[in-house]
Amino acid sequence: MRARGDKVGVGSVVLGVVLLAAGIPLLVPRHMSREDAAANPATVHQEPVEVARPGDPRKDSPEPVLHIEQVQGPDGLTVQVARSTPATSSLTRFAKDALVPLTPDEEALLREEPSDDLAALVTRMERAFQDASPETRGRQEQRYLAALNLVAKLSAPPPEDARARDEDARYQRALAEEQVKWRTLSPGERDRAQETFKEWFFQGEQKR
Amino acid sequence: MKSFMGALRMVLLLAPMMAWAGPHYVASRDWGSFIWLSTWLDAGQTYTFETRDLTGSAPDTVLHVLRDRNGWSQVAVGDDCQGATRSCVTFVAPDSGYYRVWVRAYADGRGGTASLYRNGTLLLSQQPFGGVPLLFAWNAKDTFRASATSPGGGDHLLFLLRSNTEYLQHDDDSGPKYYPLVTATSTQNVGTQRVVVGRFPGSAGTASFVHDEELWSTIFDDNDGDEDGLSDSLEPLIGLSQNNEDSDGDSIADTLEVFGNDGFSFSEWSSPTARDLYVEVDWMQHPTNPYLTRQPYAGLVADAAAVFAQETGGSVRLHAFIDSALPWHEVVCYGSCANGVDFYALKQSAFSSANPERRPYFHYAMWANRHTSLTSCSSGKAELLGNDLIISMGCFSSPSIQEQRGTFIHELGHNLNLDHNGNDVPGQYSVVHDSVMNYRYQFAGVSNSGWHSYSFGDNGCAACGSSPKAECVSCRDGFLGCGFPGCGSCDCDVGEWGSLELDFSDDGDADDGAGRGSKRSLLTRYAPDDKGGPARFQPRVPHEESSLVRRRDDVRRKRERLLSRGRVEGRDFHVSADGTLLYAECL
Repeated sequence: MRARGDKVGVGSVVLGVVLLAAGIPLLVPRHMSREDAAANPATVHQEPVEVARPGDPRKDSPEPVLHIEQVQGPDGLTVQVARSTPATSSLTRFAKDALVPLTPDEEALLREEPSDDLAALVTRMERAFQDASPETRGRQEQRYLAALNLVAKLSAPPPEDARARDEDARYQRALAEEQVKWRTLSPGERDRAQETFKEWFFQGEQKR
Repeated sequence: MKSFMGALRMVLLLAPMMAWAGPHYVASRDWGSFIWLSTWLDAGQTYTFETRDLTGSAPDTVLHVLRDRNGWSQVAVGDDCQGATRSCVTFVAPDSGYYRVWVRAYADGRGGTASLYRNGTLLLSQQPFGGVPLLFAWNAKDTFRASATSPGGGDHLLFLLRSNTEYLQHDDDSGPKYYPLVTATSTQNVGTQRVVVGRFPGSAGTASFVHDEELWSTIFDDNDGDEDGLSDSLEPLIGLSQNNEDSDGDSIADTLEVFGNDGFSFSEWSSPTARDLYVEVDWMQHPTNPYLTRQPYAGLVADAAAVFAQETGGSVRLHAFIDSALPWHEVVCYGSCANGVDFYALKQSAFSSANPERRPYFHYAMWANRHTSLTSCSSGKAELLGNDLIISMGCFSSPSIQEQRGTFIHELGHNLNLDHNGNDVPGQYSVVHDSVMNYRYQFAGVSNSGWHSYSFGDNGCAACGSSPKAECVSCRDGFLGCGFPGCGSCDCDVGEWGSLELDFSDDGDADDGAGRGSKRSLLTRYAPDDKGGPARFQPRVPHEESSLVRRRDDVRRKRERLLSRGRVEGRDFHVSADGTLLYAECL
């Protein structure tokens, strides 16, 4: 039993080494590890870098990315750690928990511009759009629109308003009665008549 | 004569209009969000913008396209598109540049969500849209503001329209703390004009709306008697006094509570019609032993606020903020002392260091180990009629929530001019004085209920009901042998809530000598001028503790005030040997 156990142990070690050797290049893209090592071996802290995983992305899911961070170990040892899930802002977590489907643009924005303040995110993207050069304007507008669409998805829906619904029902009834009188008018005249009637009706409603 | 008659005729003609164009106030509410999109358009190109897919109770959009060319103007507008409640506009861009697409609700309650398309391409999907139009007349130079009324409040926008479709002016952030502030450039009184208020996309929160007439507009007199920046016509609409710049008497000027200010904006927390009481709490953190760290329990803020809310029916609102850690010291003293640190030196470095605009209005509570000496086991020491307090529970190995809450409210009570009411002799505390100010109930709560209130009893004697406490001194002395006739059921502190004094100097203004500015100096902190110009609070108010000379002067004034009300020095209050501190010291 003892000899068999030793064989199992040696086998496990060998298998582990093989898996480790095969796994490292899979976990960390080769060009990243080479470039980073060559670029600045003394660097201790590095901002997280997002790297696309090799291979074709699936069309039915957002593109997964690996997140690589420098982590300081004992005795000043610095190692790279690759994680499939990047650090997320509370908005990202909220979107995930609430099962809000996000577009790739919106997901990318949440990753690249972590923020817990939607209005600040919109303002930041708007400023970047307005400061953009003609070459980058299209890209910045895309990000700005993504921010606004993100806001809409993460905002609470407007509350139900029974008073407005009743008022609208009254308006639609009154409008239908009035429209009978406008049959002979041209489309432009009908629009103007409706505008005038609408103003008259809602000013009256406000005084009710 | 002819010109006189002409002027008279003009006055008669204008009189009804002047009466019509009075100020307006809308209390705090949710105004809804606008769609407020920046977009680049090329000169000579035809563009169609439209809203589609409207949802909501009764959704109805109005779509404006605006352009800023050294001043904003409207390029296109559309309300109902082909008879439907959605909107559409088609126009040729007059020049290249950034334009604004503004989508709002036609009327209050007609908001919802809508998608926005440009030339048939979807730009924005299911965006919330809202905003509320307010219809009233105004005169040129009138001001319009929307001030956030919830903490971290939303970013609001404010528009003036000549009619449903004619744009006049708008503003985003010219007011204090980037609240919108518009000064009307023209008089509008034909009946179709409106002001529209709503939020910037993505922001949340509530705001109040204020339309006020031009201040100091006449030659011989002004229309702002108390010179607080709100006209005499407006103040009654809000429930404020025309003759008092601090109508609710909480030492925070009406202007700050209604219009807000940069930094910690008082409009977001305060009410101009309720007394708001602010306290910053810092605590001492032991460097190695977490059991010695004197951090108050997290629920203290809510608990203390609830006591004030319930007992005063909301007329006194406590806003306490547990702020930051202080370096550890075994002993803290008001002033220098052996083996201890000077309270004022610590306060100077830690008190609202990130928000100095709070300093003139906040009490400062230090959660420390011990005060005065290494052998003191007093639970606290607080200024009477002041704004500083020390909670020192170093002799409590692990103070319970009740002990912490009771001590905090007790010491804060001293700041608010409440004393122990004679209950200073150990073992002889009154059972009748049912208040957290009585040591008997400081920890256990009034009637040993765990509820820490300043006034819980309702068994006051007749003398207490109609005269100052001083007249009950003999009655109170009777507590110590409460068999005196007529004294057995006397609670001289009934109504103690009503005697909380936030105007510490008792001189009718906000200056207690602890840093608040006088009426004039408050106005000068608005730049460049509050007389019709944009008011902007200067947040960086340098804070300095009063000099020793000034402190002695303050103590002298407070001492005279307390003695004149029957308080007894050495029993109800103490004055430090150097005359710079008037305080209540607790067992």
